[in-house]
Amino acid sequence: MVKSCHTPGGAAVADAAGLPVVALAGNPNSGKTTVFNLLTGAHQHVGNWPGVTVEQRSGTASTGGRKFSVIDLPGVYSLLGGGGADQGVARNFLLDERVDLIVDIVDASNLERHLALTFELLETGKPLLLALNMVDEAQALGLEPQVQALAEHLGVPVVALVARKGKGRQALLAAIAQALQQPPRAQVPAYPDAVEQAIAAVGATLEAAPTAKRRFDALRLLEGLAASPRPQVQAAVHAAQSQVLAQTGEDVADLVAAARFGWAHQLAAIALQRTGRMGLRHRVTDVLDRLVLNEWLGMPIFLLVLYLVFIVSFSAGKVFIDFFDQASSALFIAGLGHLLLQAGLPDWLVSMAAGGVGGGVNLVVSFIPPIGLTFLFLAFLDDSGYMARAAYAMDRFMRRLGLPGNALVPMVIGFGCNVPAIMGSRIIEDPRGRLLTVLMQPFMSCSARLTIYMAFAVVFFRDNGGQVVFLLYVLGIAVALLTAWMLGRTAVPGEPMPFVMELPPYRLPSARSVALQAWQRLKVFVLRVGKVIVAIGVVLFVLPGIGWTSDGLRATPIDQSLLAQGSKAIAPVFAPMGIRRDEWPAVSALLAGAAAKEIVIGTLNGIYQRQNAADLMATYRHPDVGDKLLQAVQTIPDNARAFLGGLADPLHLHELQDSQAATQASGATHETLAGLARMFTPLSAFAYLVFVLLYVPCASTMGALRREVGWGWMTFSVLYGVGTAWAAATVIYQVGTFAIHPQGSVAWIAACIAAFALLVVALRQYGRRAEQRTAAAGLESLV
Amino acid sequence: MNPLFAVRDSLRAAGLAGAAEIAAQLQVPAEVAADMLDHWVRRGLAERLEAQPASCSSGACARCGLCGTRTPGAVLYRWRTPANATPRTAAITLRSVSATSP
Repeated sequence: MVKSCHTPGGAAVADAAGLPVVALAGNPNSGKTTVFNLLTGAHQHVGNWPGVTVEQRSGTASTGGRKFSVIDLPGVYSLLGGGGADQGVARNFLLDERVDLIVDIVDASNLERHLALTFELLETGKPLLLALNMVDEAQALGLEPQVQALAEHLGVPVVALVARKGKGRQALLAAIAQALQQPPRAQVPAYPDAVEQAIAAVGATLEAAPTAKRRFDALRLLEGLAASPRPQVQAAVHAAQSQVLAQTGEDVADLVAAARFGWAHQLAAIALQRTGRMGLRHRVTDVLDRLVLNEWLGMPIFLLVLYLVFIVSFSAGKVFIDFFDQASSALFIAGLGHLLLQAGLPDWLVSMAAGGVGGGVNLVVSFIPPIGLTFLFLAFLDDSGYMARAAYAMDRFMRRLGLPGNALVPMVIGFGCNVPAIMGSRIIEDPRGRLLTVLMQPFMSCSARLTIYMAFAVVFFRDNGGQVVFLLYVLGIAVALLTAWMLGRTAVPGEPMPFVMELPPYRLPSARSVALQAWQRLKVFVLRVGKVIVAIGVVLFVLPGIGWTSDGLRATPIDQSLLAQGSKAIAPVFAPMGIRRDEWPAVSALLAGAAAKEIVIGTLNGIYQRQNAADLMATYRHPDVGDKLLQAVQTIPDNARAFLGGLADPLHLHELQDSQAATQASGATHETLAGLARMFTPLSAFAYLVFVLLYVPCASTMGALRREVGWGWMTFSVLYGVGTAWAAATVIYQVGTFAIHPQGSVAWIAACIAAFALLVVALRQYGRRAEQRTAAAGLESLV
Repeated sequence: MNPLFAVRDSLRAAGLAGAAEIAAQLQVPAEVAADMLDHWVRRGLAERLEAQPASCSSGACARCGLCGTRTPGAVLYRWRTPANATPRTAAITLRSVSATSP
């Protein structure tokens, strides 16, 4: 049934059998191909347009016993130019070839934009029929297409379609038959008089016949989209351009475009009537946005959502933590150690490989369930369009406080890594906003810190780990806000700038997309964090074996090692936040953690594995991998029951001070977790976590800070971070233990407050001096 | 006023803006606003800034991969006149907007 295809000689696509040619034209994604399939069914042919590798689809259809040829043209935005070879094909065909009827397909839900092409199609003077496709989507937006009014204004038939569902096919066929029989007389839109005169003047110098093509050539020349090699044509163009500018005060190119946009705007207003009955999706978006973007509710809702994410992640993850922990411990520590012993390796090497490497792997694997779930929920929120709104709510809240609204946005979306968040501040053009934004980022909980939180939560806050992790995230945000607020009023005074944010509509994320996103992040997390923990585990398995003795540097027991000696010397500094001198591994971990936060847990792992190397040797000799795996599997139903029981009693804050109960409840089998349980109370553990959250960002973050704001502000950020971390941890610990030593606690808390006050005064002085310098130099140079 | 010239005036006044912002201000669909802004870019009077998602703009994602944003950045437009050398707005952009943004 195919009657047409391309001919070798040129662009002749017109029907060889003399059938009327109906060309389907429209913007890309207006549904042309769907309409084409609807009209032609199986009677179609796919080939290439002559000279280009652009797909050409043609076919036949019939209505009322009359056959016609249908050409599915590539989508095109404008007949004047632009786009690739495919748009050129459509343009040339519509301007140069014999077309008996153009079926202009427009997306009713995006009508104003699509009507711009309709303007140009009407200018060609060729018979036209308007197919208003996707009317269902327009209705879902609360817009009712006014087919009759549109037809009257255009002077051409208008047919409403939902091509995707096959609706409107008969009406379209009938309209095509009618239009082929009696070509409609369209109301061709006109340009302002000055432009029409210019078109006529330039057109008169062109050699082409007085057709639509000549008019379009003239328009192209006037708009500067093309140039003629003939000097007299160019002279006419320049003269016409100057004349229009003199007459109207506007360039002809702008007047031409303005005429099309204005016409489309007016016509769209006539063609679509607002019904106020929005589709379900948009109603849902509207209602949800009224809540989540509400000035007063936005922020609490965001915190609630975040709270639920961590509670559910931790509680549900806890069901599987013991399984992952015990199973990976059986395989990677006991099993690996046993295999290596069987292979005849010396004990020290077995200890290092099974304890350092296997222990590290075991530690990372243990946290896969809660961290994986956290990533899953964050990916869901991100994909659903909520996170963008959370950032918007945050912006409003912050601007109310006189802070740069965009400062927290990078970290809210994804709660990932401080480094890209700092680098992302580059697109903030206001130097003050950029500086404040950069200085806030190190306080946001990155994924590396999540490992530390999880490790401590498993041991000390097994029943309310989610709340503790949430609290730490919120504390990070609060300190970031406080920092920006303080700096904005002292060292970096100025007004916050508004910022641009575009909100996507809500959508139900696809399970595949969310799972894939969460999996990618988890994979990177496990590999990156895992590598660091394993490597540091090995180094710190060796390092604690060397110490300074009366005979010089010698192999020593771990407690006399250089690492222990150095850490013990610094330990008194951390005493006010609850770290005793004999808890030197905690201090070592903090020192090493300045390089990367993952190292905190890596260090603890190395040291504890080393301390217990002798016990572990017995495990390697009798690994009982099978029994341990079985026990691991049995933990799942037990924990699931506890999880379901815990739903009725979500808050267990009373356990904060009860070290023994928490330790027993932890059931931590891992040496590192057991080591933590021995070393901290829940209170000192929380203080330690707060220190970890706030103190020196990792080396990469420091590098990013230096690049973005220079050495001075980087140094400030590091020192301020350490000081804030110490003060916050100290205040938390001292408040928690106030009853035991009230006078000491008062002294420490007062000292922290006084130091903060001093800092504020110093920063204010700095700010005043900076303002004077700026005023003197007449420049704005903050960074 | 013709919407194309209204867009021009609006961007000229704002200095730097996204299509959605202009669209909301002038009550036109975001895509149409973007088309009109692109006209002024073609005419050399405005420039188009491809703002990547803030948390990915370092290109560090390949390295850290943790930021979780994998969406394309949005586009901002800046009016080109000496008077607007210091833009009045700063931007962190999240996602390209759809026609149906509220």
